[in-house]
Amino acid sequence: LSEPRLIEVRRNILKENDQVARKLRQSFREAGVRVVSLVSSPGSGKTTLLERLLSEFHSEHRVAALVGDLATENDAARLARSGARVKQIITGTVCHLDATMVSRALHDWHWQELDFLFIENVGNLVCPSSFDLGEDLRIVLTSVTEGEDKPLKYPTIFNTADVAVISKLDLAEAAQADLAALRSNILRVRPGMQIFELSAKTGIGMEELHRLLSSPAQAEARAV
Amino acid sequence: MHELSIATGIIDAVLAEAAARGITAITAVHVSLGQWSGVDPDALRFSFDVASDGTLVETSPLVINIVPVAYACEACGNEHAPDGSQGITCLQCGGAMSLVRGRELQLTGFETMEEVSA
Repeated sequence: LSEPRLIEVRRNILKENDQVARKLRQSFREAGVRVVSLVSSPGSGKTTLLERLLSEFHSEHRVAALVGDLATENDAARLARSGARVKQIITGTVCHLDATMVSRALHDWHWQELDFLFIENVGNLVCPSSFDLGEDLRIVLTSVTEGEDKPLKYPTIFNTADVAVISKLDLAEAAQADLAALRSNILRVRPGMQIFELSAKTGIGMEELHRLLSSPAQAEARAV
Repeated sequence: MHELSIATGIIDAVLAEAAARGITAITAVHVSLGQWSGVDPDALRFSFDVASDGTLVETSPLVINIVPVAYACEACGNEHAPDGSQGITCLQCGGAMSLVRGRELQLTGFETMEEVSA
């Protein structure tokens, strides 16, 4: 009896998503649209940060947002108050956004006319890390109330993001957060990562993030 | 739980590679999974079993090779794992480190008893 033989192939399993994402990124760049996505666990303050960013950017730039959730249009309704165009992507049972969902959500939009597109992913620290959405910059949020070891528990999401935001800074004292430990844990899983400490509620620390997003060189962190 | 869509991706890729080579029976499927790929091996095996029903790989075991996380120094190339106080700067020269392995999500091959032409 003959032995089984191994046929070697090298094929990335998420090739299809990566291809859609690459195409999206290329068309965003060609149209001059800067695309920023937000990932975090549920309740870290993605929507509050986005609310702030949309109202700050809305006066000077053409901005819009896509927000992903398993159910409800609550976030879209909340964000639409900023005056920016907002669309909810309801994923049903799916725990993350993928490039095709983004592409589908944009098909009836004149997104080429935008300066900024923000994408809020489903609150989840695991699955979104595997899916490229074609964004230029991915921001991972972790709030001061979540515990300093979050980055060590979920290293993948920190490693697939470009910059980190430590959110709810106004609660740091009440939560007895050890910010130095949190920063060092982020850097342990993602050496050299740029970290912003801020409160979207009070506005502390928002300026620096605002500056990063407005600077063209910085905002294109990802290779096409 | 996104392992089901990943299992489906693996199966589609194997079937396409097999069809391209005229292979009709597959005895095992090999994948490389980075420690930080965001995919759970047990959940992936379970999903593979479910999703492979009625396909060529219905009875083929999924062989998972876990790739540990590794950082390398961008300046001197020295590699080490991110444990304890390490990981931020190179222990040899103090240079910046970046992730070089650990995020793989790749079909690496499959086994067959059939004769293969090229």
